[in-house]
Amino acid sequence: MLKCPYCGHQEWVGALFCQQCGYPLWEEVARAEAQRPSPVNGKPAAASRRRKTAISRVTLRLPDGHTVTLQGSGPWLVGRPTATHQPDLDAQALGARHVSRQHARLEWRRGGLYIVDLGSTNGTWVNGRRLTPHEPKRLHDGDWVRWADLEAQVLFDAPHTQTPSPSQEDLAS
Amino acid sequence: MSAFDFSQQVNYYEVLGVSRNATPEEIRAAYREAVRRWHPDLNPAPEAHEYFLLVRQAYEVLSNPKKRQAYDRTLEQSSETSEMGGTAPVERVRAPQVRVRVSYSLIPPLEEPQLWYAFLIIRAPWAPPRQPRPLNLWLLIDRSSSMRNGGKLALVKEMVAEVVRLLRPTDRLGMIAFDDRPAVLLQPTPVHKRAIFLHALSQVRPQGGTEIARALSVVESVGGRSRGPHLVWIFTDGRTYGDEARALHLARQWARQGVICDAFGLGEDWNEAFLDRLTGLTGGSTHFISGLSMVKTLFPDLIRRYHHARVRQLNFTFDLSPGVKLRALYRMGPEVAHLGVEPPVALGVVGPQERWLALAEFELPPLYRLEDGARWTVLDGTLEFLPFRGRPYTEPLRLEVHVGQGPRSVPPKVVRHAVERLTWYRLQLASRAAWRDGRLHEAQQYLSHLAQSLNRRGLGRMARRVQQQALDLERFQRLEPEAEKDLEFGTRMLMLPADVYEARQRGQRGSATRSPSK
Ligand SMILES: [Zn+2]
Repeated sequence: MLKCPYCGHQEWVGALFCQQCGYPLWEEVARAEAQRPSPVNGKPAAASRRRKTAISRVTLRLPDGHTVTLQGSGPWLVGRPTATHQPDLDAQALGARHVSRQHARLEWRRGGLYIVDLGSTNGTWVNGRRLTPHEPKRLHDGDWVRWADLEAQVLFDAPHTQTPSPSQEDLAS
Repeated sequence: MSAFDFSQQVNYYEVLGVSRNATPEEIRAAYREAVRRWHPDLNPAPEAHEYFLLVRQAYEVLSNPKKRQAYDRTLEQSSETSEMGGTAPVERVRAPQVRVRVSYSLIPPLEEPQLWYAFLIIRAPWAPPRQPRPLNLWLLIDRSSSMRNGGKLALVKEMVAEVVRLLRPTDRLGMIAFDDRPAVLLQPTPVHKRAIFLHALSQVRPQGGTEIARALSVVESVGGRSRGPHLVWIFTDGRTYGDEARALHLARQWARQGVICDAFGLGEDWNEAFLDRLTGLTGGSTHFISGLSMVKTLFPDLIRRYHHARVRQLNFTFDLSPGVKLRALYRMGPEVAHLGVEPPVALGVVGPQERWLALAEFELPPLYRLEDGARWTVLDGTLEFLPFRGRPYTEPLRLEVHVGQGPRSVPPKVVRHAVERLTWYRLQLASRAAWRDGRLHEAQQYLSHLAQSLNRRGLGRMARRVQQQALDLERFQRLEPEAEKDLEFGTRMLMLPADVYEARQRGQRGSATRSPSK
């Protein structure tokens, strides 16, 4: 059986999506595959590729306990949808009314998760402090971020491995 | 599969629509007529260009006495080799392209069962639409008393008018009105006198309940070996009670005769699960009609496909290896349908330049006993293309996996895409089932997960609708029938190829403002 990392539902081996929450289980399987020891040297099979493929998941926890997982490796646009453009995080679908169309961007940079306000009307706050527009700010696991009237706690489990520092390599081995 | 060879396919006399002993004048007149009809500047159909070239080619040969004589000789030769005894010429169905993509081609030998997916893509052989095929279409019109509400009968009349408008003079249309008892309004009649259909329909007065099986059994002169498709279209707003088994039995019989049944539901109270099974058994599909503009995008697609269908029906017979179960078979193009899983399965028809798409979900048994590297057959089957004349053409289809320990590949994108859509469809089914069981919180959870998944894929509009229904469920502790239909058909449409989905969306949106069901 497979266990859904998102909701804990048990699925048969070979399931591609969780039947309870829609989570793409195949991504998890592919990720595990990339880290599987190769029979030749005992190192992860895709160690060289891993820097690009290992993506730590970014999850937003809303005040009501709901969580939203950001897909892919970013950058992610936070905003309101328009006729032609769909943000990665649709604030309107989450009930926010005062988030700008292009409100803020979340992205991985130099091994850290950064947030940048894109000159929004009603501002972006991190742990209660308003950000200067267009100035990236590094986030830490568990930070509370507010985009106008949408608030969420940002959770990310592992440090990003785009340019791993020695300490991160130690953690991995 | 061999390359396409024109000369094997088409008969120049048929292209121009003239007889073998036509005079040069007749040929010239027919050519002029064909040019007017098929010139790409005058005919926007995508196949017009290719057909136009064919028309010119035919004229070049038939207008030249020497070339014509030589061509006649080749026709005589080929008819000697291909005629199968009958007087009707055999229609050759060129080998179609069948492609299969699977979730995993290497399966680990586990002591537990596994899920496995296969996505089937069938491209019909390119078929020049010489003449549209004459359709034999029965309309079964629900006149139960509930049709009086919300202008539904008025919408049905508009739907019939649209059908009549789209049909050609050579098509035949019959109409049956049904409630508890069916009444034939009109025996199948050529459609050149359009007014009589609308007149017959004006006699319909809503009364009684909905009983489908009786109406189905009245449909006469169905099947047989006529030159065009046999279709039964059901327009209904209600639920049939107690006669489901009989109706399904009839549907199975029809499927064997190549009759295709489609259903069109109006309003919120009709039973889509039943109609889905009924139509699915015949290779047809079930549609939710939200308003007239929906009809105007859907009907032309359907009728065009049937007019130009290369085969009467595509059948799929197969054996499954011991322990294998075919859990579900969903057609995802050209129309979404929940097909049967008991062979023979009627797959429906596919129009020219369309792809037939379906997702099959299998349960595989524990495979730990097999040795590493073994090839193992999941399904061994045959696709049967039932032509309008001549013998069926068959194509073997075998689904195999390799069993062994090895790196798990990433499933192909088409498979991921299809399974994701099926998962969405099932999330809303699960939500509705949970709601019906009184598990309100669970029902809501399914919907918010669905909304999130839709959002992740950039389907914000649909996500917002689903999110709203989750909120309503919380607030009012119930799912309105309207919301259920929206969830069911909203997620179902997402299974269609992107371009078809876009076109249908526009049709739906257009009808939202003038929906009669209020
Ligand atoms: Zn899950």
